[in-house]
Amino acid sequence: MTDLILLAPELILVGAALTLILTARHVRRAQPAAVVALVAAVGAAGFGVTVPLQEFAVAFEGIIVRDGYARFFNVVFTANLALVTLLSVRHLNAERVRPAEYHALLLLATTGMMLAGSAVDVLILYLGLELMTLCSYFLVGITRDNPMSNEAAIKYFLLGSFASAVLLYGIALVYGATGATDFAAISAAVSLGQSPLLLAGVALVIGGLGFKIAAAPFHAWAPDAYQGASPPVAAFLAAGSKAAGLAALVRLCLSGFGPEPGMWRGILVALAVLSMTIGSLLAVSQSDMKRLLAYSSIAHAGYALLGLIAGTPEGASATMIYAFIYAFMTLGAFGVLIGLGERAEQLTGFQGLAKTDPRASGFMFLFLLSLTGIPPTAGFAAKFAVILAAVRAGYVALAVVAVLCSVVSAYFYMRVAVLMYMRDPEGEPPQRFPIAVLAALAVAALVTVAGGIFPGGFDGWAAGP
Amino acid sequence: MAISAGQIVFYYLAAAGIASAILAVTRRNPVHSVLWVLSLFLHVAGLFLLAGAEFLAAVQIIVYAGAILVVYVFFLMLVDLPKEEAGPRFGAHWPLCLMVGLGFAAIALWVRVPGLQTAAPAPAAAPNTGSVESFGSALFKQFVLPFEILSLVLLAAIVGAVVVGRRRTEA
Repeated sequence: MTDLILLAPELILVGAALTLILTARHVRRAQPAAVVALVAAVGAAGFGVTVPLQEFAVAFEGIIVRDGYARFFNVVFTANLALVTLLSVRHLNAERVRPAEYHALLLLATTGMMLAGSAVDVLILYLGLELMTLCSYFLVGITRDNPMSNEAAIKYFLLGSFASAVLLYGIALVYGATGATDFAAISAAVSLGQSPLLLAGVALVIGGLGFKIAAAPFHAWAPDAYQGASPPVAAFLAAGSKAAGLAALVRLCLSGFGPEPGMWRGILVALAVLSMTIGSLLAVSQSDMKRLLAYSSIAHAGYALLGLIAGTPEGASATMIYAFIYAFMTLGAFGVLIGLGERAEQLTGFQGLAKTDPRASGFMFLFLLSLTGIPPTAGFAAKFAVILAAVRAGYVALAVVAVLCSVVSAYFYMRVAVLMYMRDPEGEPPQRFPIAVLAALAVAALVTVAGGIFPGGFDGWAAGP
Repeated sequence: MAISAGQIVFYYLAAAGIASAILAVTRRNPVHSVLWVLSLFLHVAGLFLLAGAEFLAAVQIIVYAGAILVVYVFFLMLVDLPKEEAGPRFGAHWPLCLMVGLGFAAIALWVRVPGLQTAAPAPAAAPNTGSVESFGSALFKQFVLPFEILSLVLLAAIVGAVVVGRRRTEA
C-alpha cells in the first residue's frame, strides 16, 4: 500500500490519461480535455510535494525512490505539462487535432518522465524514458494533415529508436559487467574495478541519454523535430524531454557510476563542449524561429552538463536548477510564438512587434534576456551557478568555452530583440493572445524574474541524488 | 577430453545459428534471407531449451518466428523483388558496420575472464519449479512495476498508432 502511495503522482496522471482515452469519442473541443490534464498536473504536483514521506522512501523492492531529487524533477515535469496544456488549447482547435488523445499522450509522456526521474534501477529508467519518447514521436506527428509534421515524426522516430537501441545495448553491457540493474549494486560493482565491457556500456548509455537531452553530436533530430512539430509540442519536447534526460543522466552518473567518475567525465566534457559550440554557432544563421530555439536548446544542454561534470553536490544542484529554469524560460519563449501564431514562424515576423503589441514583445524580451543569461533574470543565476561549479572543480577551460558561447548566443537572441524594438512594423498587427496563453506566459515570466532576484530560493530544495 | 551429448547439441545449435545468420545477411533474394532468419530463430530457441529455459524457447518461437517474422514477410510484399535482387547486396558502409560488430564481439570475448561468471546473478534456482512458474512469479512479484509500465508503453503505442493512422480529419 505504501508503494502505491509513493507512486500516487504517476497514478493520478495515468488515471487521467485512461479517462481521456475511454471518453475520447465524446470529447470534441480542447477545453474539457485540457481541464482534465491541468487538474491531473496540479494534483500530481501537489500530492508529490505535500504528502509527508520519510526521506529516501523506497518502493517496489528498491527500484523507485521518492527523495528530494525525484520530487524536485516531478515539479518540473508537472509544471511543464500544465503550461503546455495551457499553450495548446487554441492550436488543437485550429489544427483539428483530436484533443483527448493529444492530452492522453501528454499525460503518459509526463508519467514516463516522472518514472525516469525517480528510477534507481536501469530497467525503470529505460522504460520511463521509452514511454516518454514513444509518446513524443506521436505528438510530433499528430498534425497528420501537415506533411512537414509527418516528415519530422519519421525522422525523430528513426533516430530515436536507434538511440533507444544504443541505450538498451549499453544497459545490457553494464549488466554483463556488473551483474546488476539497480544503481546501488552497480555502484558497488563499479568500485571493485573496471573492464572494457563496462567502459563500452557506460559510453553507450551516455550516448543514448545524450540523444534524449539533444546534446551534440546526438542533436541532429532536434531542429527538424521542433520545426515540423506544432509549437506546443516543440515546447513540450524542449523543456520536458531535456529535463527528463538530465534527471536520468545525473542520477545514473552520480549514484550508479559515482565511484569512478573518470569513466563518464571525459565523454560528458566532449558532449558539453560540442553542444555549446555547435548549438551557439549554428543558431546564428537560422531564420526560422523554431529552429533557432532548437539550436539554443542544444547549447543549453551543454551548459546544463557543466554542473554534472563538476561532480560535486553543489554542481549537481546547479544542473538541477538549470533544468528547472530552462524549462520555464523556453516554455515562455515558445509561448510567445504560439500567441503570435503563424507570423512567428519566421524571424521577420517579429519586426516592429514593440509598436503593435508591446505586451508580447515585453514577454519575449524577458525570455530572450534569460536565455542569453543576462542579470537580473533567472537564466543568469542558473548559468552562473553551473559555470561556478565547473570552475571550483578545476574545469577553467570549460568555463571559458561556456562564457564565449554565451557571448555568441547573445548575438542571435538580441537580434530578435532588435527586430522587435528598432524596426517598423510590417503587415497586419498580431491578433490578441488567448487567456490561457497569457496565463502560461505570466507563470513562466514570474519564475524567470523571481529566480533571478532570489537565486538562493532553490537552496536546500534542489539537492542532488 | 570427454564430450557430452549436451555439448555436441550446443555446438551444433551455435554453429548452425551463426551460419544461418551469415546466410541471412548475404542472400540476394530477400525471401531466402527471411527463411534463414527463421532458421536462426529456431536454433536460438534450441539454445534456450538446452539452457533449461523452456518458457523463453516457447516465446522465441511464438513471438519471433511466429509474429515478428510474419511482419517481415508482410514488409517484403511492399518490396520490388526483382529490383532488390539485381541491386548490390550491401550499402557503402558495410566495412564500418563489420568493424563495429567485430569490435563488440571482441569485447565480449575478451572479458570472458575467470571471476566474471560469478558476478552475474545465478538464476533463481528454486527447486522443483518449472521455468514458466518461476518466470511468472518473478514477473508479478519482483518485476510487477516494470511490467505495468510496459503495458502503458504498449497502450501509448496503440493510441498513437490510431491517432496518426486514422483517416483524414473530417473537415
